[in-house]
Amino acid sequence: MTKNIKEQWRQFAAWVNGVENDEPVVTPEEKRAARPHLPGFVHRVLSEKNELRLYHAFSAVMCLVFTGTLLLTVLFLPTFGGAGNPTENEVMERYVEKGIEEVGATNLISNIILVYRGFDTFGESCVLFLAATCVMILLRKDEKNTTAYDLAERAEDAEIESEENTTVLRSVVRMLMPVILLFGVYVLLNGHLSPGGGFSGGAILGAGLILFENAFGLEKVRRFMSEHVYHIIKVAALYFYGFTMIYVFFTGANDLHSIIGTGIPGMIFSAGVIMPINVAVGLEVACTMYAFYAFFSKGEL
Amino acid sequence: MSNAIATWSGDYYQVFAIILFGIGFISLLLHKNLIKKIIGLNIMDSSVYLFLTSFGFIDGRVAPIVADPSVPVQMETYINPLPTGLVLTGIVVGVSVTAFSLALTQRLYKKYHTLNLDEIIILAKREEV
Repeated sequence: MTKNIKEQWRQFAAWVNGVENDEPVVTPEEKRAARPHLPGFVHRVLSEKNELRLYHAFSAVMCLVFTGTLLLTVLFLPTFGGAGNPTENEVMERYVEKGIEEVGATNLISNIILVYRGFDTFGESCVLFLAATCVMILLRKDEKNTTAYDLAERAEDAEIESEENTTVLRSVVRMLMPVILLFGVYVLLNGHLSPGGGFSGGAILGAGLILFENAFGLEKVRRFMSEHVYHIIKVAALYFYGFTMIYVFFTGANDLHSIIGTGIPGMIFSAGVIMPINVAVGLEVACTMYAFYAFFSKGEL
Repeated sequence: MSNAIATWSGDYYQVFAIILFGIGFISLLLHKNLIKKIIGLNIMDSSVYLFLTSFGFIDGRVAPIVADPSVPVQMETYINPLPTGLVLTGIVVGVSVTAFSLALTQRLYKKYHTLNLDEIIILAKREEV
Protein backbone atom coordinates (compact mmCIF):
# COMPACT_ATOMS: atom_id res chain seq x y z
CA MET A 1 0.00 0.00 0.00
CA THR A 2 2.67 2.49 1.04
CA LYS A 3 4.76 1.43 -1.94
CA ASN A 4 1.81 2.12 -4.23
CA ILE A 5 1.35 5.61 -2.80
CA LYS A 6 5.05 6.27 -3.15
CA GLU A 7 4.95 5.12 -6.75
CA GLN A 8 2.00 7.36 -7.49
CA TRP A 9 3.71 10.30 -5.82
CA ARG A 10 6.82 9.68 -7.91
CA GLN A 11 4.73 9.66 -11.07
CA PHE A 12 2.99 12.86 -9.99
CA ALA A 13 6.34 14.53 -9.28
CA ALA A 14 7.62 13.39 -12.68
CA TRP A 15 4.53 14.85 -14.32
CA VAL A 16 5.01 18.15 -12.48
CA ASN A 17 8.64 18.22 -13.54
CA GLY A 18 7.63 17.60 -17.13
CA VAL A 19 9.19 14.15 -17.56
CA GLU A 20 7.07 12.35 -20.10
CA ASN A 21 8.13 8.75 -19.58
CA ASP A 22 9.95 7.17 -16.68
CA GLU A 23 13.19 6.57 -18.53
CA PRO A 24 15.62 9.38 -17.84
CA VAL A 25 16.93 11.07 -20.97
CA VAL A 26 20.32 11.60 -19.37
CA THR A 27 21.96 8.90 -17.28
CA PRO A 28 23.09 9.82 -13.77
CA GLU A 29 26.71 9.02 -14.72
CA GLU A 30 26.61 11.55 -17.50
CA LYS A 31 25.09 14.10 -15.17
CA ARG A 32 27.85 13.49 -12.62
CA ALA A 33 30.51 13.89 -15.26
CA ALA A 34 29.08 17.14 -16.61
CA ARG A 35 28.52 18.81 -13.25
CA PRO A 36 30.87 21.72 -12.62
CA HIS A 37 33.11 21.07 -9.64
CA LEU A 38 34.11 23.39 -6.86
CA PRO A 39 37.83 24.26 -6.72
CA GLY A 40 40.28 21.35 -6.58
CA PHE A 41 40.94 20.91 -2.89
CA VAL A 42 37.23 20.91 -1.96
CA HIS A 43 36.54 18.36 -4.67
CA ARG A 44 39.20 16.03 -3.24
CA VAL A 45 38.11 16.31 0.39
CA LEU A 46 34.33 16.10 0.05
CA SER A 47 32.10 13.38 -1.33
CA GLU A 48 29.83 14.24 -4.24
CA LYS A 49 26.71 14.52 -2.14
CA ASN A 50 28.41 16.83 0.31
CA GLU A 51 29.78 18.90 -2.54
CA LEU A 52 26.25 19.46 -3.79
CA ARG A 53 25.17 20.33 -0.25
CA LEU A 54 28.00 22.81 0.02
CA TYR A 55 26.91 24.39 -3.26
CA HIS A 56 23.35 24.74 -1.94
CA ALA A 57 24.64 26.17 1.32
CA PHE A 58 26.72 28.72 -0.59
CA SER A 59 23.65 29.79 -2.56
CA ALA A 60 21.60 30.13 0.61
CA VAL A 61 24.29 32.16 2.36
CA MET A 62 24.69 34.42 -0.66
CA CYS A 63 20.95 35.01 -0.78
CA LEU A 64 20.77 35.66 2.97
CA VAL A 65 23.64 38.16 2.84
CA PHE A 66 21.98 39.93 -0.07
CA THR A 67 18.61 40.07 1.71
CA GLY A 68 20.28 41.19 4.94
CA THR A 69 22.05 44.05 3.19
CA LEU A 70 18.80 45.20 1.66
CA LEU A 71 17.06 44.97 5.04
CA LEU A 72 19.78 47.13 6.55
CA THR A 73 19.18 49.63 3.77
CA VAL A 74 15.51 49.83 4.77
CA LEU A 75 16.63 51.28 8.12
CA PHE A 76 17.94 54.35 6.31
CA LEU A 77 14.96 54.84 4.02
CA PRO A 78 12.30 57.49 4.69
CA THR A 79 9.45 56.29 6.94
CA PHE A 80 6.62 54.47 5.23
CA GLY A 81 3.63 56.73 4.70
CA GLY A 82 5.17 59.81 6.25
CA ALA A 83 4.12 63.19 4.87
CA GLY A 84 7.02 65.29 3.63
CA ASN A 85 9.10 62.36 2.39
CA PRO A 86 11.54 63.18 -0.44
CA THR A 87 9.15 61.57 -2.94
CA GLU A 88 6.54 64.21 -2.15
CA ASN A 89 8.16 67.02 -4.13
CA GLU A 90 7.44 69.59 -6.81
CA VAL A 91 6.98 66.89 -9.47
CA MET A 92 4.06 65.41 -7.59
CA GLU A 93 2.69 68.89 -6.87
CA ARG A 94 2.69 69.74 -10.58
CA TYR A 95 1.04 66.45 -11.59
CA VAL A 96 -1.67 66.66 -8.93
CA GLU A 97 -2.52 70.35 -8.96
CA LYS A 98 -2.18 71.18 -12.66
CA GLY A 99 -3.25 67.80 -14.06
CA ILE A 100 -6.95 68.52 -14.48
CA GLU A 101 -6.35 72.01 -15.81
CA GLU A 102 -3.73 70.95 -18.38
CA VAL A 103 -5.00 67.55 -19.48
CA GLY A 104 -8.50 67.22 -18.08
CA ALA A 105 -8.86 63.70 -16.68
CA THR A 106 -10.05 63.30 -13.10
CA ASN A 107 -8.03 60.09 -12.82
CA LEU A 108 -4.66 61.73 -12.24
CA ILE A 109 -2.71 58.55 -13.01
CA SER A 110 -4.27 58.50 -16.50
CA ASN A 111 -2.97 62.03 -16.98
CA ILE A 112 0.53 60.95 -16.11
CA ILE A 113 0.79 57.68 -18.02
CA LEU A 114 -1.04 58.72 -21.18
CA VAL A 115 -0.13 62.36 -21.69
CA TYR A 116 2.73 63.61 -19.51
CA ARG A 117 4.64 60.35 -19.92
CA GLY A 118 2.82 59.34 -23.09
CA PHE A 119 5.87 58.13 -24.98
CA ASP A 120 6.81 55.90 -22.04
CA THR A 121 3.49 54.09 -22.35
CA PHE A 122 3.90 54.06 -26.12
CA GLY A 123 7.21 52.23 -25.67
CA GLU A 124 5.46 49.86 -23.33
CA SER A 125 2.84 49.06 -25.99
CA CYS A 126 5.70 48.44 -28.41
CA VAL A 127 7.23 46.00 -25.91
CA LEU A 128 3.90 44.13 -25.81
CA PHE A 129 3.79 44.10 -29.59
CA LEU A 130 7.35 42.77 -29.76
CA ALA A 131 6.63 40.09 -27.14
CA ALA A 132 3.60 38.89 -29.11
CA THR A 133 5.68 38.86 -32.29
CA CYS A 134 8.49 36.87 -30.64
CA VAL A 135 6.00 34.33 -29.26
CA MET A 136 4.53 34.07 -32.75
CA ILE A 137 7.96 33.46 -34.29
CA LEU A 138 8.84 30.82 -31.70
CA LEU A 139 5.60 28.88 -31.40
CA ARG A 140 3.78 29.24 -34.70
CA LYS A 141 3.01 25.87 -36.25
CA ASP A 142 3.44 26.34 -40.00
CA GLU A 143 4.79 23.86 -42.57
CA LYS A 144 8.41 24.25 -41.46
CA ASN A 145 7.70 24.01 -37.77
CA THR A 146 5.40 20.98 -37.67
CA THR A 147 6.60 17.43 -37.18
CA ALA A 148 4.66 14.21 -37.62
CA TYR A 149 4.43 14.03 -33.83
CA ASP A 150 2.73 17.45 -33.73
CA LEU A 151 0.23 16.40 -36.39
CA ALA A 152 -0.64 13.21 -34.49
CA GLU A 153 -1.03 15.21 -31.29
CA ARG A 154 -3.27 17.72 -33.01
CA ALA A 155 -5.46 15.00 -34.47
CA GLU A 156 -5.75 13.44 -31.02
CA ASP A 157 -6.72 16.82 -29.53
CA ALA A 158 -9.36 17.34 -32.21
CA GLU A 159 -10.80 13.91 -31.51
CA ILE A 160 -10.99 14.60 -27.77
CA GLU A 161 -12.59 17.96 -28.46
CA SER A 162 -15.24 16.50 -30.75
CA GLU A 163 -16.21 13.90 -28.15
CA GLU A 164 -16.25 16.34 -25.28
CA ASN A 165 -19.62 17.36 -23.98
CA THR A 166 -19.33 21.09 -23.30
CA THR A 167 -23.02 21.95 -22.90
CA VAL A 168 -22.63 23.42 -19.41
CA LEU A 169 -19.55 25.44 -20.34
CA ARG A 170 -21.20 26.73 -23.50
CA SER A 171 -24.42 27.85 -21.85
CA VAL A 172 -22.51 29.51 -19.02
CA VAL A 173 -20.26 31.29 -21.51
CA ARG A 174 -23.31 32.40 -23.52
CA MET A 175 -24.64 34.05 -20.38
CA LEU A 176 -21.32 35.49 -19.22
CA MET A 177 -19.84 36.74 -22.50
CA PRO A 178 -22.02 39.89 -22.87
CA VAL A 179 -21.39 40.84 -19.23
CA ILE A 180 -17.62 40.39 -19.52
CA LEU A 181 -17.42 42.34 -22.78
CA LEU A 182 -19.63 45.10 -21.42
CA PHE A 183 -17.51 45.39 -18.28
CA GLY A 184 -14.33 45.46 -20.38
CA VAL A 185 -15.68 48.23 -22.60
CA TYR A 186 -16.87 50.14 -19.52
CA VAL A 187 -13.41 49.99 -17.93
CA LEU A 188 -11.84 51.07 -21.24
CA LEU A 189 -14.12 54.05 -21.80
CA ASN A 190 -14.04 55.25 -18.18
CA GLY A 191 -10.27 55.11 -17.87
CA HIS A 192 -10.05 58.87 -17.41
CA LEU A 193 -12.78 59.02 -14.75
CA SER A 194 -12.34 55.96 -12.58
CA PRO A 195 -9.74 53.30 -11.78
CA GLY A 196 -9.01 51.36 -14.92
CA GLY A 197 -7.96 52.25 -18.42
CA GLY A 198 -6.39 50.61 -21.41
CA PHE A 199 -4.35 47.92 -19.74
CA SER A 200 -6.93 46.61 -17.28
CA GLY A 201 -9.81 46.91 -19.74
CA GLY A 202 -7.79 45.21 -22.43
CA ALA A 203 -6.92 42.37 -20.06
CA ILE A 204 -10.64 41.88 -19.27
CA LEU A 205 -11.51 41.80 -22.99
CA GLY A 206 -8.65 39.38 -23.64
CA ALA A 207 -9.85 37.10 -20.83
CA GLY A 208 -13.34 37.14 -22.35
CA LEU A 209 -11.91 36.13 -25.73
CA ILE A 210 -9.93 33.29 -24.14
CA LEU A 211 -13.07 32.03 -22.37
CA PHE A 212 -15.00 32.17 -25.65
CA GLU A 213 -12.26 30.21 -27.40
CA ASN A 214 -12.33 27.57 -24.67
CA ALA A 215 -16.04 27.01 -25.04
CA PHE A 216 -16.59 27.26 -28.80
CA GLY A 217 -13.23 26.47 -30.36
CA LEU A 218 -10.83 28.31 -32.62
CA GLU A 219 -13.06 28.21 -35.69
CA LYS A 220 -15.78 30.31 -34.07
CA VAL A 221 -13.27 32.94 -32.93
CA ARG A 222 -11.80 33.10 -36.44
CA ARG A 223 -15.14 34.37 -37.73
CA PHE A 224 -14.51 37.77 -36.16
CA MET A 225 -10.81 37.62 -35.27
CA SER A 226 -8.75 35.90 -37.90
CA GLU A 227 -5.02 36.42 -38.10
CA HIS A 228 -5.55 39.15 -40.70
CA VAL A 229 -7.86 41.13 -38.41
CA TYR A 230 -5.43 40.61 -35.54
CA HIS A 231 -2.54 42.13 -37.49
CA ILE A 232 -4.65 45.07 -38.67
CA ILE A 233 -5.89 45.86 -35.14
CA LYS A 234 -2.44 45.68 -33.57
CA VAL A 235 -0.64 47.78 -36.15
CA ALA A 236 -3.46 50.33 -36.50
CA ALA A 237 -3.67 50.79 -32.71
CA LEU A 238 0.08 51.38 -32.43
CA TYR A 239 0.15 53.82 -35.36
CA PHE A 240 -2.85 55.71 -34.01
CA TYR A 241 -1.24 56.01 -30.59
CA GLY A 242 2.10 57.12 -32.01
CA PHE A 243 0.73 59.80 -34.31
CA THR A 244 -1.69 61.14 -31.67
CA MET A 245 1.18 61.44 -29.20
CA ILE A 246 3.34 63.25 -31.78
CA TYR A 247 0.51 65.71 -32.52
CA VAL A 248 -0.13 66.39 -28.82
CA PHE A 249 3.55 66.91 -28.03
CA PHE A 250 4.19 69.03 -31.12
CA THR A 251 1.29 71.41 -30.52
CA GLY A 252 1.90 71.52 -26.79
CA ALA A 253 5.62 72.24 -26.98
CA ASN A 254 5.30 74.91 -29.69
CA ASP A 255 2.27 76.63 -28.16
CA LEU A 256 0.23 75.97 -31.29
CA HIS A 257 -3.53 75.78 -31.36
CA SER A 258 -4.60 72.20 -30.82
CA ILE A 259 -7.88 70.86 -32.21
CA ILE A 260 -8.14 68.65 -29.14
CA GLY A 261 -9.81 70.39 -26.21
CA THR A 262 -9.84 69.30 -22.61
CA GLY A 263 -13.64 69.47 -22.23
CA ILE A 264 -15.43 69.67 -18.90
CA PRO A 265 -13.55 67.53 -16.35
CA GLY A 266 -15.66 64.64 -15.08
CA MET A 267 -17.75 64.21 -18.25
CA ILE A 268 -17.38 61.12 -20.40
CA PHE A 269 -16.27 63.13 -23.46
CA SER A 270 -13.47 65.04 -21.84
CA ALA A 271 -9.73 64.88 -21.32
CA GLY A 272 -8.95 65.15 -25.04
CA VAL A 273 -6.83 62.31 -26.31
CA ILE A 274 -7.00 60.07 -23.25
CA MET A 275 -10.15 58.15 -24.15
CA PRO A 276 -9.15 57.29 -27.76
CA ILE A 277 -5.67 56.33 -26.61
CA ASN A 278 -7.16 54.13 -23.89
CA VAL A 279 -9.25 52.36 -26.53
CA ALA A 280 -6.19 51.85 -28.75
CA VAL A 281 -4.10 50.49 -25.87
CA GLY A 282 -7.00 48.28 -24.77
CA LEU A 283 -7.35 46.72 -28.23
CA GLU A 284 -3.60 46.15 -28.34
CA VAL A 285 -3.57 44.47 -24.93
CA ALA A 286 -6.65 42.33 -25.65
CA CYS A 287 -5.12 41.11 -28.92
CA THR A 288 -1.81 40.36 -27.22
CA MET A 289 -3.42 38.41 -24.36
CA TYR A 290 -5.48 36.35 -26.77
CA ALA A 291 -2.47 35.79 -29.03
CA PHE A 292 -0.37 34.54 -26.10
CA TYR A 293 -3.08 32.05 -25.22
CA ALA A 294 -3.70 30.92 -28.79
CA PHE A 295 -0.03 30.43 -29.63
CA PHE A 296 0.80 28.64 -26.40
CA SER A 297 -2.12 26.23 -26.63
CA LYS A 298 -2.76 25.77 -30.36
CA GLY A 299 0.19 27.32 -32.16
CA GLU A 300 -2.03 29.32 -34.49
CA LEU A 301 -4.53 32.13 -34.38
CA MET B 1 18.59 46.48 17.83
CA SER B 2 15.22 47.47 19.34
CA ASN B 3 15.51 50.63 17.30
CA ALA B 4 15.97 48.58 14.14
CA ILE B 5 12.98 46.38 14.93
CA ALA B 6 10.83 49.46 15.47
CA THR B 7 11.89 50.83 12.08
CA TRP B 8 11.30 47.50 10.34
CA SER B 9 7.83 47.11 11.80
CA GLY B 10 7.03 50.64 10.64
CA ASP B 11 8.33 49.98 7.13
CA TYR B 12 6.68 46.58 6.88
CA TYR B 13 5.84 46.98 3.18
CA GLN B 14 9.48 47.39 2.25
CA VAL B 15 10.57 44.57 4.58
CA PHE B 16 8.02 42.21 3.10
CA ALA B 17 9.04 43.21 -0.44
CA ILE B 18 12.69 42.42 0.35
CA ILE B 19 11.80 39.03 1.86
CA LEU B 20 9.81 38.25 -1.32
CA PHE B 21 12.83 39.30 -3.35
CA GLY B 22 14.98 36.85 -1.38
CA ILE B 23 12.49 34.02 -1.97
CA GLY B 24 12.47 34.71 -5.70
CA PHE B 25 16.25 34.98 -5.83
CA ILE B 26 16.90 31.69 -4.05
CA SER B 27 14.39 29.81 -6.21
CA LEU B 28 16.16 31.27 -9.25
CA LEU B 29 19.47 29.92 -7.88
CA LEU B 30 18.49 26.49 -6.57
CA HIS B 31 15.77 25.12 -8.85
CA LYS B 32 16.79 23.18 -11.92
CA ASN B 33 13.35 23.23 -13.50
CA LEU B 34 13.04 26.07 -16.02
CA ILE B 35 9.38 26.78 -15.22
CA LYS B 36 10.22 27.12 -11.52
CA LYS B 37 13.03 29.50 -12.40
CA ILE B 38 10.56 31.66 -14.34
CA ILE B 39 8.19 31.60 -11.36
CA GLY B 40 11.08 32.78 -9.17
CA LEU B 41 11.78 35.61 -11.59
CA ASN B 42 8.12 36.61 -11.42
CA ILE B 43 8.20 36.67 -7.61
CA MET B 44 11.23 38.98 -7.81
CA ASP B 45 9.32 41.20 -10.24
CA SER B 46 6.35 41.45 -7.89
CA SER B 47 8.56 42.32 -4.95
CA VAL B 48 10.04 45.23 -6.88
CA TYR B 49 6.56 46.53 -7.74
CA LEU B 50 5.53 46.30 -4.08
CA PHE B 51 8.69 48.14 -3.03
CA LEU B 52 8.15 50.90 -5.56
CA THR B 53 4.44 51.47 -4.90
CA SER B 54 5.01 51.62 -1.15
CA PHE B 55 6.93 54.88 -1.68
CA GLY B 56 3.87 56.54 -3.16
CA PHE B 57 1.71 56.00 -0.10
CA ILE B 58 1.19 58.82 2.38
CA ASP B 59 -0.78 58.30 5.60
CA GLY B 60 -4.35 59.54 5.66
CA ARG B 61 -4.60 60.46 1.97
CA VAL B 62 -6.79 58.94 -0.75
CA ALA B 63 -6.20 57.50 -4.22
CA PRO B 64 -5.49 60.17 -6.84
CA ILE B 65 -8.91 60.22 -8.47
CA VAL B 66 -10.63 63.56 -8.11
CA ALA B 67 -14.26 63.20 -7.02
CA ASP B 68 -15.33 66.81 -7.52
CA PRO B 69 -13.36 68.56 -10.30
CA SER B 70 -15.12 71.91 -9.77
CA VAL B 71 -13.14 72.74 -6.62
CA PRO B 72 -9.37 73.41 -6.98
CA VAL B 73 -7.25 70.31 -6.35
CA GLN B 74 -5.15 70.35 -3.19
CA MET B 75 -1.94 68.32 -3.18
CA GLU B 76 -2.46 67.42 0.50
CA THR B 77 -5.56 65.32 -0.32
CA TYR B 78 -3.96 62.71 -2.57
CA ILE B 79 -1.15 60.17 -2.44
CA ASN B 80 1.76 60.39 -4.88
CA PRO B 81 0.50 59.17 -8.28
CA LEU B 82 3.93 58.86 -9.89
CA PRO B 83 5.13 55.46 -8.50
CA THR B 84 1.80 53.91 -9.49
CA GLY B 85 2.29 55.03 -13.06
CA LEU B 86 5.85 53.70 -13.11
CA VAL B 87 4.80 50.31 -11.73
CA LEU B 88 2.22 49.97 -14.51
CA THR B 89 5.08 50.08 -17.00
CA GLY B 90 6.97 47.49 -15.00
CA ILE B 91 4.05 45.08 -14.86
CA VAL B 92 3.55 45.15 -18.63
CA VAL B 93 7.24 44.58 -19.30
CA GLY B 94 7.22 41.72 -16.75
CA VAL B 95 4.32 40.05 -18.56
CA SER B 96 6.13 40.37 -21.89
CA VAL B 97 9.37 38.91 -20.53
CA THR B 98 7.49 36.02 -18.90
CA ALA B 99 5.66 35.19 -22.12
CA PHE B 100 8.87 35.29 -24.12
CA SER B 101 10.79 33.06 -21.71
CA LEU B 102 7.90 30.59 -21.49
CA ALA B 103 7.83 30.39 -25.29
CA LEU B 104 11.56 29.65 -25.33
CA THR B 105 11.01 26.98 -22.65
CA GLN B 106 8.30 25.35 -24.73
CA ARG B 107 10.65 25.18 -27.71
CA LEU B 108 13.41 23.64 -25.55
CA TYR B 109 10.97 21.07 -24.18
CA LYS B 110 9.87 20.10 -27.68
CA LYS B 111 13.45 19.50 -28.72
CA TYR B 112 14.87 17.78 -25.62
CA HIS B 113 11.75 16.44 -23.84
CA THR B 114 12.91 17.68 -20.48
CA LEU B 115 12.71 20.87 -18.45
CA ASN B 116 15.77 20.19 -16.31
CA LEU B 117 18.40 22.78 -17.19
CA ASP B 118 21.38 20.48 -16.43
CA GLU B 119 20.01 17.78 -18.72
CA ILE B 120 19.31 20.30 -21.46
CA ILE B 121 22.92 21.50 -21.30
CA ILE B 122 24.25 17.92 -21.47
CA LEU B 123 21.99 17.05 -24.39
CA ALA B 124 22.96 20.21 -26.26
CA LYS B 125 26.67 19.37 -25.75
CA ARG B 126 26.06 15.83 -26.97
CA GLU B 127 24.58 17.26 -30.16
CA GLU B 128 27.61 19.41 -30.77
CA VAL B 129 29.95 16.38 -30.74
